Amino acid sequence: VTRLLALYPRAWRERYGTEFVALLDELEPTPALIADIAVGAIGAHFDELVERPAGRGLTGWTLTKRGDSMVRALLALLTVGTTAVAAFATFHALWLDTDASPFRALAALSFAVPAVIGVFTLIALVRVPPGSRHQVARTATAIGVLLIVIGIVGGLNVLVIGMRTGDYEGWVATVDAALVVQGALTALYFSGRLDGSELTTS
Amino acid sequence: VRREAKDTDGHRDPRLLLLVSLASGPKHGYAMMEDVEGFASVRLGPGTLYGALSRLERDGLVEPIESADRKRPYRLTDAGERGLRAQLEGISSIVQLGRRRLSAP
Repeated sequence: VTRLLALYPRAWRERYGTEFVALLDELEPTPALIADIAVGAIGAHFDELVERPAGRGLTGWTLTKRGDSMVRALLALLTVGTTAVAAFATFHALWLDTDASPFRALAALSFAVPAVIGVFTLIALVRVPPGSRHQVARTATAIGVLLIVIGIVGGLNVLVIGMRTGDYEGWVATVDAALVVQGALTALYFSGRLDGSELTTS
Repeated sequence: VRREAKDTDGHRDPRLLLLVSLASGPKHGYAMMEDVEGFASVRLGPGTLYGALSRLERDGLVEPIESADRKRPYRLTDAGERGLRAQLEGISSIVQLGRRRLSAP
């Protein structure tokens, strides 16, 4: 059972490891005990990412420095993926697609906008320090909402075309779903609403 | 087996239970576990107990006492004592209100 200590974050182990193992030595190992230790480990990891004031339940928590880094890394990873795919799709629609559909330019635009937004989001993630998120909150919220709209409209478009032709473009739907997530995360993170830090919009 | 509701059912927050336990003096983890089970009929698992304890320490409500033993005892800080009093007064006022309403015609 004491090997379950490895599930806990390093800093937690260094601080509480010895006394925690001393406690475990006095207890009978049962499935319930193992489950409790595992759940406790998840809580300890979560505590490293957010700060939760006592008695506030799920509200009022803020990202720690490590939590902020993790959200930024997650958002950056997502943005790199969607931006790369959107840029390729724009290029494909404009120059490689031989179909002379009148909606081709519109389709290209629907990918070009997320690609451009992606580049600006990555710049913001690199250059805007956590404490200055509020300075770009309004812009970030606007582009986040725009991404969500593009993602939803694009997803509905895939659905409608799929119903009419029987050919569902799964990769486009996946990109659209990723855009919705990216948009929501961008808006929530930069506006401070993700962690309830209640940053004032400029 | 369905357990009958007790008047402590609404107060099973591990942090509150640990604060109440430490109100009678410093204790180490196992002693807190036994004490809480004794007065609240709640068996805190080690993960739950140390999760609550680490948050209480982070919030400055409890503090460890230096010990040569592997079992490190903890005690309430002044802030912890004030916080516990405030929580108990809040609970007490709700209990009194509930009882008054139940006894009202």
